[in-house]
Amino acid sequence: MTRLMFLKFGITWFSLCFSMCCVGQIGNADRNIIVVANIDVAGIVLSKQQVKSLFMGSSVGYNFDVATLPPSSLVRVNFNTLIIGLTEDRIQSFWAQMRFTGRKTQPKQITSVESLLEYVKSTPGAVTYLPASITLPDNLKILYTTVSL
Amino acid sequence: MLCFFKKSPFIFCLVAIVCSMQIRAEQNDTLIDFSGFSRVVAGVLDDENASYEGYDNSISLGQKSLLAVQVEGHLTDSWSLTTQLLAHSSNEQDSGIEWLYSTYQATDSWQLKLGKLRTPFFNYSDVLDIGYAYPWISPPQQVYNGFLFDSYEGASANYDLVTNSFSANVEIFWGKFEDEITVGDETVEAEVNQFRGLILNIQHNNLKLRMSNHKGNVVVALPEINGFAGALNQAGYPSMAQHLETKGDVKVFQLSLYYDALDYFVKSEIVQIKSPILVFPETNSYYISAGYIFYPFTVHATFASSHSSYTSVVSTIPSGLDPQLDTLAAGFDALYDNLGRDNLNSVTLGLRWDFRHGMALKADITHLKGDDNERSFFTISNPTAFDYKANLLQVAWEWVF
Repeated sequence: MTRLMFLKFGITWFSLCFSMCCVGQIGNADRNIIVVANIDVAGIVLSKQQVKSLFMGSSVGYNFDVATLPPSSLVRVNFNTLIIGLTEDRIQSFWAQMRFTGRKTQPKQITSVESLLEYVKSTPGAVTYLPASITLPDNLKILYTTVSL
Repeated sequence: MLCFFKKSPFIFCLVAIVCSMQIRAEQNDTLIDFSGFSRVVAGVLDDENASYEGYDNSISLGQKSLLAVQVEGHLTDSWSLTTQLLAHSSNEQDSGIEWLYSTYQATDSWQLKLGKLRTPFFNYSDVLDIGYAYPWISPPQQVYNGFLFDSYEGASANYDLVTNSFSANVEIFWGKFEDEITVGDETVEAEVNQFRGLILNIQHNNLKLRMSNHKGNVVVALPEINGFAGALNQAGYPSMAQHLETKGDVKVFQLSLYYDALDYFVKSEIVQIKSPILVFPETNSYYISAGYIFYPFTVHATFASSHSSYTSVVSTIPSGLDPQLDTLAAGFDALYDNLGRDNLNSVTLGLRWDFRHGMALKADITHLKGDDNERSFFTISNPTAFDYKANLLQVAWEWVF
């Protein structure tokens, strides 16, 4: 392969980079998120760092059973943007590193907000994120909210 | 086969546990998870006088392509067994069982592992085969070269701590390694005992710091050098012979700082390797990388550099007195002159496209500039014509499942 061919590749590469347009814009509808748990203890409030760590596989000390929505969910996109601060593919890269080094296990995924709410409602210790506008059952407590952000 | 188990008591224990798990699986609903990863990488170097990472001036698919399957069996809520079977396309790399270990999740915060594990020297050392986990096609070779072994047999303990403002993880491990290692283009048998390390990860918002320190007692099988050292001792030059070490404590220190924002990242990692062993130079290397994300695309640029050196030894053998001593002195000088030094600067420009969940396409172009007349990670076929500059082009398809 000649240096000229490499130069052509370089030019093509830069052209491609600059011509691509941004995708994955998030709508301005209600993007706020609440993190809720099925726990008896009242008054538990988590910081953003704790919520991020909890959903990225670390323990925050309450033996939570973490459940999430699938990557295609808009609520998950909002959660990634507001709390985790990473795009989905970089979160998946993180989980690939964790899974194939045996360090952490990805939380279970439940297909819809309705099913997720039902799961958390009926599972003591379960924790998840939901749209802030949702009507919560009595046994779920809010640990964190982005509403004031 | 018996010999294999004799040499690998951890593996023997784990195979026995796997067998017992299968028996239990018939009695209970033991959960078994299958996952895996694969990559197809094509690369070409624009120089006919040398090769780099196995690539020469003809397009090759065979250097880094691979397929791996991971099987994880959950014995109980807190105890699991994991194995990872890997098939490399390159003959230079071993295929077979890459991981075989048992995990015990003692508490939410404590995790213990026992078995054949990947060595967590640097940020991406234990996921080098999983291209999906990092932005480049190959992490900078100045840091992530094949000099260090990629797995060990032993145990590790992990502790997680999360506070209101930061999260931390501490990992300690202890074990041993016995296999071939590659230094430059030479492969030598090596044994590493009392191999241990301490790794500290601290994260505050998007800023992540990783610090690690590793140490092991290394013995490399180099009978020619031992023989030459014996000859120097016999001739009455023990102070020169002691520089021809083939065993000793090798120390590896690493520090990295990563900042990951929603639409950009900056990563930097610095590594130092110190060794009394003749063929392992003292190495200082680092990279700094920045990327911009316009989802699902990432563009990134990386500068990487390495500098390796050997302790300078002045021959005290008098010349011109005895032909045998002259031969010894010439041999000593030739030995030092031929030690490879990997002094290399590189700039990589890359593009990653996460075109669907769990899959990515990548293209990287790397400009390499080595020190003249040094090894610089190249395998040089025509030293007189090679100008120690080359460009490496790679494209890759990454998949995790």
